[in-house]
Amino acid sequence: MSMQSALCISDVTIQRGGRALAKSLSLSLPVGEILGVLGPNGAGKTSLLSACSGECSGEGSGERSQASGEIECTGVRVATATAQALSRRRAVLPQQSTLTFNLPIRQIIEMGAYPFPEIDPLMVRRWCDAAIAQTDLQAHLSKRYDALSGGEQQRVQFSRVLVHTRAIAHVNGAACLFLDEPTSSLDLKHQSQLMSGLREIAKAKLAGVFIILHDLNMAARWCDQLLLLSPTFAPVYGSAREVLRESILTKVYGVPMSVVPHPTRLNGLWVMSDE
Amino acid sequence: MINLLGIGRLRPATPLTTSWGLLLLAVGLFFAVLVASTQGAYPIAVADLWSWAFGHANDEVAQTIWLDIRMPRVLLGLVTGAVLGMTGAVMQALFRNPLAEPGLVGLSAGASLGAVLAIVLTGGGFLWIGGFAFLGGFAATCLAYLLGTRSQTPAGLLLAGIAINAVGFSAMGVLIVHANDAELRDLTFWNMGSLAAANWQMLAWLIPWSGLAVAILWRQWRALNALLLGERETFHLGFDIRRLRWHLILLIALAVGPTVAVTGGIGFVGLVLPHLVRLWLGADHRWVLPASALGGALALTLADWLSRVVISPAELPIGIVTSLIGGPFFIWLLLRGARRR
Repeated sequence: MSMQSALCISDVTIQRGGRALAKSLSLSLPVGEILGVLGPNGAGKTSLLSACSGECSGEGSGERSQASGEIECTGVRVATATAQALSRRRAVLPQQSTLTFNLPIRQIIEMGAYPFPEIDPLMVRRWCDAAIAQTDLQAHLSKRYDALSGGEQQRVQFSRVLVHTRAIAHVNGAACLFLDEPTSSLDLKHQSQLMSGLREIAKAKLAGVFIILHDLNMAARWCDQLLLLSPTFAPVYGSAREVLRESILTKVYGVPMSVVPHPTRLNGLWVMSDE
Repeated sequence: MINLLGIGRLRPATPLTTSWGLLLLAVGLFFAVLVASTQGAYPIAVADLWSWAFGHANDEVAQTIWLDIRMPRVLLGLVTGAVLGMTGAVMQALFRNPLAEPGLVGLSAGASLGAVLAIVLTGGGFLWIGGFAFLGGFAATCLAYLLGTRSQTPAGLLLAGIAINAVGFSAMGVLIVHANDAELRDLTFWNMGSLAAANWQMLAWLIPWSGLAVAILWRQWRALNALLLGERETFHLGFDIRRLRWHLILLIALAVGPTVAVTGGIGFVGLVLPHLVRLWLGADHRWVLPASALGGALALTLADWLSRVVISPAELPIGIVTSLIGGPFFIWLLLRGARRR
């Protein structure tokens, strides 16, 4: 194997409420690549993310999902790893975070380095500055967290996860980065800023990226591999050309879909619903 | 769900401001101790303390009052205030609820019930009372956590607290039926909170005990900061959330149980002080925890002094004083939250 694996899943089945989602799934995400996870609501995307990031041991509120099979995160078995060991391997961006009390924005972002108390605070501050610049937050640093808009809060949390990823890569060479619909409340500019930021992280071999997306075109544009989950059909895993096919999409999403060559990008795909 | 009450206004708290803030609190506490230990039904000149320190005992009565009556009482207030202030701050983070506090959540009632049970069953003995108070407080906190975090609003925890308080106090009532008149008066006074029971033997174990618990709690400031983000995020940042939860609840009960066994229910210190500290220094637990401890100690020292001088030579139960000040603050918190929604 020439490339280090950020995430390795073999024969994983997710059980939720007596139903098997994502039956006997196997995939490997090398460091430097972005895996886009797609699918309609209830397909088990977030459950898969929870399983891969080690949350499935009964934490998290609401319905419990369980995973069987082998999951390894940068070479560490997720099922047996401690919370501390996991936090030094992978970073996670959940859908939305609210704060009980407002902390200063910069401090929230620097929390990304909490798993690594041994790292020099000056270095953490540098990463933090870089993340703030990358997510366009300079103008918001003195605001209260609860006074920020949903999209701005999402960018703060993304910055925190960027610092976390940097810290992991600094100590362990490479991280596995999980993001759950990070673009859901971002405007177009910040969506592409976030995706190109992820691209840079991947290109610099800092991490392998596992990202849940709803926008198929964004997935086609930025991801190296795609995983299409469905509540009823078997998962489809492969490159954009293999996964984003009219017949598959129409079946999985239940609406007629068309896939055509991208109007401006060479070799790109353009997906649209025909309804 | 969170920040319904809109507390925790952001102030850009630099390390300089926070260290000055802590220093200011410590100095304030020193002067509060000085005032509380010299003023009262029998006033003592501060200058006398100075000469006693150099071995000139000019007024034996005053010296005895200061050393054996005032100081133990002031120190007990100080320790209790510090414990309540800090555990209040920790509980607000752990429960992710700005209204969490040993009294409102039912921890104090559980500890009191444990203490009364120990008095009735074993006839006293500090070890028994302290141990039972810890067990009662621990059980009440676990119950509050299980019930209170089920509902997604701060009100859920309050409702659980009301229920726990009601059960605790009625169970105590059943036990107290068998007490004679003198015991009854003691128990009633104790329920309203009092520092009058202070003596050096008690402080000799209470101070190191509480100091240790408070120090261990302070060490968890990173985890508590992470908890502000949420339990999942706390896990993502490397804290074993289940272990952390038990660890914190256990430490809170260990700190609060024995103090409640000695002082009875002193309400609102754990609610008010952490909020004031956050308004002033920001929400970083690295500073919120020690500042709440110092602030709680300061507030209770002053409240105890008030309770002794307002209707001197008689005295008010200190719990009445803290509730008189804390109750309106609590209402203000609720109104503020209602307005923001």
